[in-house]
Amino acid sequence: MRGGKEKWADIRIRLVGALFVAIFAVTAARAIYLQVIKNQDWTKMAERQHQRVVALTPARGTIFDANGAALAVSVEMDSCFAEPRKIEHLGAAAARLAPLLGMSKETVAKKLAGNKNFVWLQRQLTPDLAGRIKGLEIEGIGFVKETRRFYPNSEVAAHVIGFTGLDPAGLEGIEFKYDSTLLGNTGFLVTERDALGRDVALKGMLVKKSSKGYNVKLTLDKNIQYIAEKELAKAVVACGGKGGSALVMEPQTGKVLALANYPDFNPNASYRYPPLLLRNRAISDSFEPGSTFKVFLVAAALEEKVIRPNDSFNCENGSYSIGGKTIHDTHNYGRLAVPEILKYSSNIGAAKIGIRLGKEKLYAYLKEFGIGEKTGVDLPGEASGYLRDRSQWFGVDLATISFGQGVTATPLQMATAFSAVANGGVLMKPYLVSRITDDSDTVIQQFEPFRQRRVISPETARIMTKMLQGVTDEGGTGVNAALASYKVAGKTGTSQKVDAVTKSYSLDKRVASFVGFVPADNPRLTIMVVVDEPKSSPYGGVVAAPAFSAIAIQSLCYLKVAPSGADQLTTRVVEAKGPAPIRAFAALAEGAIVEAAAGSVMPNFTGLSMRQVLRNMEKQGLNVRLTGSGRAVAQNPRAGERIRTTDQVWVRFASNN
Amino acid sequence: MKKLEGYDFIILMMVVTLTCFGIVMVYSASSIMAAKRFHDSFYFLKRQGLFALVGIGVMIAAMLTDYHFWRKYAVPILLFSLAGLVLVLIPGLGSKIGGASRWIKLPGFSLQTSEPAKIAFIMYLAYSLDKKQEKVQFFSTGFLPYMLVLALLLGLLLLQPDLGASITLAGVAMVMLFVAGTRPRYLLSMVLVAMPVLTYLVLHADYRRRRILAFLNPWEDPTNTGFQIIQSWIGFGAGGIFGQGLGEGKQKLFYLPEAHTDFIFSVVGEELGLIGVLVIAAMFLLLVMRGIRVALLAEDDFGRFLAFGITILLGFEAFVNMGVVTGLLPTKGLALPFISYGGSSLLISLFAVGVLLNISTRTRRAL
Repeated sequence: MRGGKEKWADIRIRLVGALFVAIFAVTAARAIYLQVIKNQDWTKMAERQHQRVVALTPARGTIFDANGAALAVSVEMDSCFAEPRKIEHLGAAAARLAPLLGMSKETVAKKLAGNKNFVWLQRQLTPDLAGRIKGLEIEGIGFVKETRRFYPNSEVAAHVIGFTGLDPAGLEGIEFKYDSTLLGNTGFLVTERDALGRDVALKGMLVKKSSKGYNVKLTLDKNIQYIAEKELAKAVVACGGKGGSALVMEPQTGKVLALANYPDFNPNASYRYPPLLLRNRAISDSFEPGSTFKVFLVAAALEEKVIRPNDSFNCENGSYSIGGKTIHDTHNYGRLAVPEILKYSSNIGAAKIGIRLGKEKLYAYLKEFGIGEKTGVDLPGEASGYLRDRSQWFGVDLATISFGQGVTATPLQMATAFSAVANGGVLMKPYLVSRITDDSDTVIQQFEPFRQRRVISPETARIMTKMLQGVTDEGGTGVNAALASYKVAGKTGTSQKVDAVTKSYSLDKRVASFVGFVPADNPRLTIMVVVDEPKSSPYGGVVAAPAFSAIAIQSLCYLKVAPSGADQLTTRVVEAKGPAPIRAFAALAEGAIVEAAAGSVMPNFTGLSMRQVLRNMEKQGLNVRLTGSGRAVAQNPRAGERIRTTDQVWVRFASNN
Repeated sequence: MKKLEGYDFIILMMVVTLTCFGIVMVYSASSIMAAKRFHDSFYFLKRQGLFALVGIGVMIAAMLTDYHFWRKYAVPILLFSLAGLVLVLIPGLGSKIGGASRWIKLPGFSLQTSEPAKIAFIMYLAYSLDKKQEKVQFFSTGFLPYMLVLALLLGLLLLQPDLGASITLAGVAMVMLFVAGTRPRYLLSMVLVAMPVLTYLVLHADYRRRRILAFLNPWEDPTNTGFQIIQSWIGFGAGGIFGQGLGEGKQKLFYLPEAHTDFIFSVVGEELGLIGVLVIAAMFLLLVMRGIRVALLAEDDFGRFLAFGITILLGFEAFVNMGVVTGLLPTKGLALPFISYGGSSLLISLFAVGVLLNISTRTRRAL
């Protein structure tokens, strides 16, 4: 029998049991609250915590030159990071990493300090170095693949190509202008990760596919570019100049074949250079053109028929007062005919032509030539130059603008305007990108030459060309630009720079330039050379003209342009053994131009284009079988052998690359 | 050897099921962490499996041992466990983990001294309450001596420090005294005395204060003090009704600290959902109910107090742990019996169940 005490104890025990039922109920309610009512909130938080969005950055497109040589490529590289919280012995890790990273132990330790979650140790390592760091097997040290932009030709065309930052975004040049084209579309992959940030299993969910960037093909020719850079550097160094620019254009199309600035930079290490050096000065810096401007003046005056080629002007023996100012010539001349005003570059003669033309007409023609407005070239940072509105021309302005003072233009504007004279009077839009292709070489976009407008008539252009040829003749200011085997048309320019401090023309700071086109009778290239602040001589004819001729002869040989003179055109060939332009030029210099025997002897066609071969064969009345495309590489019979039957004659062509 | 018919089969089944389930959950919660830390994803599974085997052996041995054996040796056992609590404080003998000296290093195994102290204290209480009978109503004989023993135990535990075990012991003692007939006003006054002491202890130790603050508002500092409970909630809450599936939880991937020990119930919630949580909680409730039934049916007062004490101990630990994991109670460092990884806890819990089962074989009448 149980006593009262036991009964009480039983009740109390049951009470405790009831308490546990209540606790269970509370626990269950809490679980329902967390897992059912608030389930969505926690699920969202869990996803945010577990999922990682991995950006799939596609490889950047390649930039090619006109012949398909790669100028900018993307290479996949390992970048090394640390998660200091996961490194057990920071000091030991720093000591082991330091020699491989090429840093001091203290520097590495400093990077790892501070209980950070993530810190870059070194980005874009060489495969060898990445392998060695991986070999250390330090926990908390990780790697990610990053693509690095690599410029295989280093400085060549650096200002045109531009460069990218560490993150693959274009910062300058084509890389910047065509950034979105080259970049491609970034994709996204959602993966799950643990708290250490490591991806868990392969449960990746592809949300958006990435697509590789497009390739960009330039009008630029790497070899001509190299020639222009080399000769520009030589010219600037020779005269002790501050810098310079050189441009090579195709006058009929506006294709830019070369664009060089000196000093240049290596885009593989762009961060080491001051921003000033990274500027593409050929398009973003304008200067007073000086005498080269007389070409547009004379062309306008001829077109408007206010002068005739034979007209002559009194050049006042070198000193002429107008509007309270006195204009000087470098030499004292009496009467000069229009071609002579250009040949000897008389400011007084130009001023008189300008006055006869009038400011409305001159202004209108300068506008037509594209002065004072951007050319629209497909590069970033183009300047428009400065041409005052004609309502702001006072007193002596008309006279000075006539010879290129009180107006500014970029080297590219000058080359573009000169191309209009070269091509028979049409202003073309200069451009650098000829084609955009995808990874499988399908053309996405093709860029054709763009004709802006006709500026002068073909007849005026023809007369101008003839006059400009005179500039490089004996006695002309541009005699140093002349070539033995090609006719050169061009104009020298020398101008004073405006001193930033005194706001007046500087006495010793000049800009020397030469702009022209070759061959004058069938222009293939417009070439512009500008040298900034030359020391040895201020004259364009002395400083810039030699560089012009050097660029011209090497480029023409490289392009296998037949020397001037109608008859020689088909019979003179250049012996070119390899694709390298420099070697071709060397061969030329060694006198390897051969005179092919006409008649029944087979000429040497090596290196000629199909059209040139055809023209020659046509002349000789031969029937010839042509195969392939590009330049002639093989022929039958061999050069110098007699042609017996016509059906055995063949020439095989192959592309240079 | 006495007859073994009549033991509480439900308790046995509950405990064996919970233990096996615990081994599975320990593996699920620890395998990736073990692979990283020990280069063996089975590390904790193997050890927990071994503890379970030994533990079930111990349980069967205790089941076969007449529980009056423990009455006879209650005082020496208490003295032994007190000695253990002292030894663990001696530098060199106790092994310090995370700033607390709770373990005595044995070959291949570290013994958490608070675990045997709990069962020893319950045996002592049952023995003493049974001996004193009516005298428990008096303050000097039925209350003060227990308070002194309890104070000694708590003092030693707090020196480790182990607040979780202290609160467990104090709680179990209170409930046992309440059932034994101690006047409620004594117990109430003890709570009133304990409150300022507890407040002092909490405010004095920086980590405890932070735990309390984190409990009150974990979002104040979600990456630091509030981190563990928030991570527990994220896993638990994201489990939903049906869970992510066994082994599919993400929180154990180094997000949730102590995923295989104190917070294993959060992994249960994430992987098995509300259903898993309710089943486990219900199994513990059933265990408690059956334990109370054993206490009510016990053939003598010693058996009654002992069975009740063991039941309260397991139930208290289980539901406090669940309360901590779901954020109802502040973090204490209490294991979930049978399920959390840990040899001492599992061995002592299984031993206690063995004693409980032996008591269940000796009923005086059917209810």
